[in-house]
Amino acid sequence: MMVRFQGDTMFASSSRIALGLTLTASILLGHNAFLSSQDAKKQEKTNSAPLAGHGEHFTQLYGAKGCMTGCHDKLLNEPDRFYQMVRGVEGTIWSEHDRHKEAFLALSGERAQRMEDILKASGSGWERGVRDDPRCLNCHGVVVAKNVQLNPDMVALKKDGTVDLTKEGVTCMVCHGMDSRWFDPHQSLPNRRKWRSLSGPEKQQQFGMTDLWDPVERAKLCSSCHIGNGRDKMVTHEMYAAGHPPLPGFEVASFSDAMPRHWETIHEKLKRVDTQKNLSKEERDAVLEVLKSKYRNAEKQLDQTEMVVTGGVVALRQSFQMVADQASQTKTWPELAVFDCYACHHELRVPSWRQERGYQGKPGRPSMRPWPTALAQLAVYHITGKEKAMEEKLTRELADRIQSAFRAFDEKPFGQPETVMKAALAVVDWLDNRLAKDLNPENTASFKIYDRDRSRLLLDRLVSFPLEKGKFGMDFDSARQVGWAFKLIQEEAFPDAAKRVSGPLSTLEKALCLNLPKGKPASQKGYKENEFLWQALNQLNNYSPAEFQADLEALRKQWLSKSLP
Amino acid sequence: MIEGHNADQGVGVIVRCYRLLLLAGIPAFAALTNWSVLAISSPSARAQETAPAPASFKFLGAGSCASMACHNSQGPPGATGSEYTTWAAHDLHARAVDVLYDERSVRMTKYLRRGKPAPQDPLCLKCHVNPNYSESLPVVDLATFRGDGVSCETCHGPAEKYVSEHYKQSWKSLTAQEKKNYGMRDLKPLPNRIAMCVECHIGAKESDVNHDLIAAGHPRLNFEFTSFHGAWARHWPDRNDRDPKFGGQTDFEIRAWSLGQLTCAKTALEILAERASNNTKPWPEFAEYDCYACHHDLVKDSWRQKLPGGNKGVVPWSRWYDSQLVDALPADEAEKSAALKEAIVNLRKLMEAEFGRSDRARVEGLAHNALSALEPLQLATLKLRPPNLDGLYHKLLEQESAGSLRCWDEAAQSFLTYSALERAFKDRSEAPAFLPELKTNVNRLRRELTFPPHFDSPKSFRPLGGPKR
Repeated sequence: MMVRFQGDTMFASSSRIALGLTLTASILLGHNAFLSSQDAKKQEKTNSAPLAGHGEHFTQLYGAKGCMTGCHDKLLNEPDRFYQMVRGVEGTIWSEHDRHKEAFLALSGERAQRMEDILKASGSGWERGVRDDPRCLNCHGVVVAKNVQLNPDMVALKKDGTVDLTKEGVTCMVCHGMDSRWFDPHQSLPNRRKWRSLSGPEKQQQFGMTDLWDPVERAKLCSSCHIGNGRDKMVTHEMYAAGHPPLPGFEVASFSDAMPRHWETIHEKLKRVDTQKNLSKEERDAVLEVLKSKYRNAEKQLDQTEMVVTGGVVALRQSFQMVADQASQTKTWPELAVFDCYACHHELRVPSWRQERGYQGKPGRPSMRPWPTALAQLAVYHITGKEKAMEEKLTRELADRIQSAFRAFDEKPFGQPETVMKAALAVVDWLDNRLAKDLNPENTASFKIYDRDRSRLLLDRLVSFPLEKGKFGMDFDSARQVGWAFKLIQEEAFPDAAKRVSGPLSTLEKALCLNLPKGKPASQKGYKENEFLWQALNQLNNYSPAEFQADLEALRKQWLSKSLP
Repeated sequence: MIEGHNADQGVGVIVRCYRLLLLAGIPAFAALTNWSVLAISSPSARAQETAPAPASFKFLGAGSCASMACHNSQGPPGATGSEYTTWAAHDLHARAVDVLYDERSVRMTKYLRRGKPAPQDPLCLKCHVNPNYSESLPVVDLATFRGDGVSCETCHGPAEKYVSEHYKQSWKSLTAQEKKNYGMRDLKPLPNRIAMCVECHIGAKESDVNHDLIAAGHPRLNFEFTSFHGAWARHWPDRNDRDPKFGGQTDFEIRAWSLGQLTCAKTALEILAERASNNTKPWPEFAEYDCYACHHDLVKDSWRQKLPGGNKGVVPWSRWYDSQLVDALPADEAEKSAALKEAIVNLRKLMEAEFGRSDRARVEGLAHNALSALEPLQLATLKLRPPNLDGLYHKLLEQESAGSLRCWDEAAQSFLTYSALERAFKDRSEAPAFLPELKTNVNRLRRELTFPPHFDSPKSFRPLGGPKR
């Protein structure tokens, strides 16, 4: 059992809290299903989340340079040179368009310099500076232990022989597995068939290659930085105050799509191998076999939709886990960064929609950020389909737990940390043990394929979300979750744009800044701050739930009239 | 635009009151915010020297003062004999209870789950009618009494015993103590007057406008005695306060400012001690902190991060009641001033460094330390020597050039001190050479401090003076 949660970085964090807490203990030692649902097969994995440089199998760093020497450096306009399972363009896309590559460069910008000056004077041990402090590097690059081998053919190095993070940024290994065991096997031609015969969990377990085909793994990995993991990756209030941009509400599928995505959806892959001229029938069948080993009806599977639904649940889980982790640390609680930024940070307006709208709990008691609760309900709809009784049961169970967590924040200003922690862990526990098993494709009995019928159902529900929540409107970030989910699920389910709802959606796209910029143009050299972030913040400052409600109502009307046969 | 989309229906009380305030010509401070006027409410009976005699005396209601031959002679505001007339026609205290019927109060009652409407809720009525308010208040007619809002007897004491005595020739020869035995409070001495106002305008044990109330819709209370006193439609002639021939003091204005600063600080510390020690009250109490340190939109490249020293995310304890405090002390009390300053610095450290987890008992202890440091300054007496006007003016200039006006509260207090000085110089026969410059500063600061339309926070405010990063 120790092996299990040692292996799981998220649970490793809660092990500290567990001492003396029976509730936590039961989660840890019981059947921690969700994040570790697939862990039965992954017990020895060490780096499912990019815990930079900590794994014992991380002995050599293979940087983007290594990946892009003759393999993942194909050009998009040369499809006839693509490989079978992957196209080979992954590094090119990352290198030319993906801002993850620039993550480290951001630490040399004007903002970072200002932050550094402020933080150094804060007395919180920032003497190393932002370009060297793991609190920054764990998300903006990679921390490499001294004993890790660095081969100049495999990773960009500086003159002094250390990693040149200006060229590597959040590099391939950060997401694909900070483990040196998978690099050779995965590229070895003679062993290709054997490598391909391994399942994702097997590759993760035996070679430390993160199973990014598993939507839970992926959502968990992305959210470890984009939400934070409450331990070594966390934007604290001190960092925000010094100038770190506020982390926006995170919808993993839409954000991944905008990286831009350097991988294919199942549909894109199937379409490609069908038409790619340089593939033999045998090679095509091999790809199909791999896909079908994961999804029984691969041709029907809408994996963006699955990502939205799974991402909604993981965001909720990771946020509550972070709250629980922080609530256990009496020396730093209340860590303001886990609270809803905009509960306090807003100009006082006259009239005030906040005061007109009212409060779910006591007025003026800051709670955690509400957006992670926005989409989790989608999973309930997906699982239960048209089974009303089960839907109501699960809906109530989820809502009760979320509500009691929010009530815990209400008990006193900032909440009673013990109560907050217990209530947050109760949400985590329920997601892990109740919801998770039905979302796991490996539970073939209960897993429901994400097909078009399911998408339609989810879209029906999404347009009615705020109505179901009653008069209490959604905040900007939650509204964005709904908008992103609708947009992406609709795009995937209706490839023909003419069949989609567009007018009312474009109103929402503007109001909520839903159209994330697709990375950066290849022509843009050097680091440039992402203005979109600030535009969205401006929209947030001027947001009104009533207007969103009206816009969504227009979307609902058009969607319902369109979706009728 | 977004916030204002339903302005027609929603602005409600704020705009109405804001108009009232403009109509009433309330100057200086009140016009800075869209709120201040709502803060007007009733005086209190806590301070020993102002406490009414036996509480069992009956309240007769404002009607008992409204005879034309007595206090309702329909004269101009402030005219002798027109005290009731002035109050009823011009004084917002007369409308204090009215706001409890409006949309905002209905909402507040609901959000705070008070269980009864605001016009019947003692929490509200203790300031919007009478600090002694309870269902069993000895009163001729409770409903009428409530309807009068903050009326004559709220400040002057229950009239049952003195109503038939106080117009007699013999009344004039009674001492203040003897009058008190009839239930009438002596409001002529400044300490008594200020102590009475602060119990509602800053708060007290059972009438605490905390962050729960403010979030639900109550305006923030930020009280500065001379500006409120100056803006108030007073129902007595100014000469009574300022002219020695009528029992006034020539240095009334600066005395009022100085004593006001000290009394306000004292009251604010008492409330802090109460908030910290009373386990039934919320803790941490956000109303103790600088409202606009948190309540501002997040924007790219905030000026807060560009301040010298940057922004470390510390939540500052409000500077409202201490930013002018030391200057309010007489210069020859250096030792006592230093002790007070130190006590407040220690309290501030604790409130800020341990924001959200500060130990209630330690805060209470340090608040009492600060109160003890204030004690020797003899607030309740008239012995206080007010600061030198010219010296105070130069201190204000220094404050700004040293960059001490870092937040709206500090700048607003500086503005209020300038305004008090401007009024104080009117009491002097000779105006100083710098008076035009002083007036320019008043106008400049007013512009800097005024909230933009539709905002109740200083969205456009930037720290004044000092070195820029």
